[in-house]
Amino acid sequence: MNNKVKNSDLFRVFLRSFYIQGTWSVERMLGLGFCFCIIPIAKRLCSSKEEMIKFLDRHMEYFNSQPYMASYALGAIAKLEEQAIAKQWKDVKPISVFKERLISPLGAIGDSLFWKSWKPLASAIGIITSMVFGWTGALVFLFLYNLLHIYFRMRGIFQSYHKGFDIIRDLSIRGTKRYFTMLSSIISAVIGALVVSSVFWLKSNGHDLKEILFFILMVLVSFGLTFRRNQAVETSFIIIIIISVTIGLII
Amino acid sequence: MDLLAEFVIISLAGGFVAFDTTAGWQVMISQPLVACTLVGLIFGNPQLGLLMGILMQLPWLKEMPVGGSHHSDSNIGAFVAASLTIILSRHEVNTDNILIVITIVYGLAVGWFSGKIVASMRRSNNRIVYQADKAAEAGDTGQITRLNMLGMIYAYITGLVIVAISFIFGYLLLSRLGGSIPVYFDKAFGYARIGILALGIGSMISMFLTRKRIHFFAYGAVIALALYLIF
Repeated sequence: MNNKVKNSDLFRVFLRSFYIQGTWSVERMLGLGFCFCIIPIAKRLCSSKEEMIKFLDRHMEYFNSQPYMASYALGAIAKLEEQAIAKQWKDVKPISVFKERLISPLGAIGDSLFWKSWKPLASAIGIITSMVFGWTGALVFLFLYNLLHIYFRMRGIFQSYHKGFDIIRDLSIRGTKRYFTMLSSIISAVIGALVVSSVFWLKSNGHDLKEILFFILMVLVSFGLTFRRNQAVETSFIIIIIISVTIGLII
Repeated sequence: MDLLAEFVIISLAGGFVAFDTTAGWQVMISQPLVACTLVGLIFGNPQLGLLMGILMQLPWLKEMPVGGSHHSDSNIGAFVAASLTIILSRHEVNTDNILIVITIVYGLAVGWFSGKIVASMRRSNNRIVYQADKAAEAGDTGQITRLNMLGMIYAYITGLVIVAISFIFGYLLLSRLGGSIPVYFDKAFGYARIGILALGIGSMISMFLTRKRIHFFAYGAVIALALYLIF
């Protein structure tokens, strides 16, 4: 089958994907953003106004995903829409059903990979670098984070366009579990390095042994405080500030 | 640079912080480590900006922007706190530790308030979506693009207004409050600064450290210690 969709169309979808959350709404979540992103494909494939209306209508529906991982849905849907026109599908409902089926794995993998793993890892490495080399640590954080972020956005669109329906096999939560286990181990090691770096950073900023011991004590207190998942971060902040100022006044 | 120019730059940059947090890009320039450092670099105090970024980066990592969950807008809160710390340290208040801690507490309130505004903005975005439905029914791709852009402009302006108002209010409030706390307390507030750094690290430990992974934590600590001792 000759591809009607060109690489330049997919690249335009990639650029638009940075704005997929532009009009995040409670009712459709990423629905409008998805439709906005896939417009280059609609323009390429739809030959009549009627086709265009049906195409846009289909993609204004409810959609949600981790924003970077939405690229996988965009690429796969571009492929399916192309196939639907080339093979003259009588019923295009499978496209909407497939899009719905992608919501859970894309959300689960994206949230675990980016929010739960990669962002904490890049943050910890950025902070360690900042403690040693100053403000360039912020650049290290940006570079490290966006390396994976932009790679996934780009790969998502192009890979899922080539695979179409088959992309669902690559998006198995069970299949990706070992990577997350490995990432968590790396993050644990980086946290160990972060604790040591913080001690040396405090020392280089003129803090004495008493204050460094206080820091270690407060890490343990904070661990206890934040272990309960339902506690708001603001509450932890206030508790820590009150405890610290009280101890500071006593000492 | 006079205060008015500083206020304008902070407000405009605040719009970008809000935009990157929710509406577009999401390249993390809005994260405290980057945004606070950038404010420090712009206003000639990169060290203080970086310090604020280090203190405010880690504690919120546990709160994930999953699905439609509502939580405080920590990026805006941290940005306002860092901006106020840097500007007030130059214009009004000289006691570093007191200033840092009271601006962080103020930043927490701003973040909480901003989170509520973002939630209500997302509800009101439904109206834009209904208009986009009509554009889709008419096959008007240009209008869909414009409506998505409208949502982004809305997010930018909302962030700009929140930062502008909270900056003015914070400047007036904290310059008085900071000055009224006796310098004697500065040392005690210094402990709070250490406590906040510990909070971020403690929070990360509670996220990742399990009995199975404790040896990785030890490896990381030993390697870092060796590197520090060698270099």
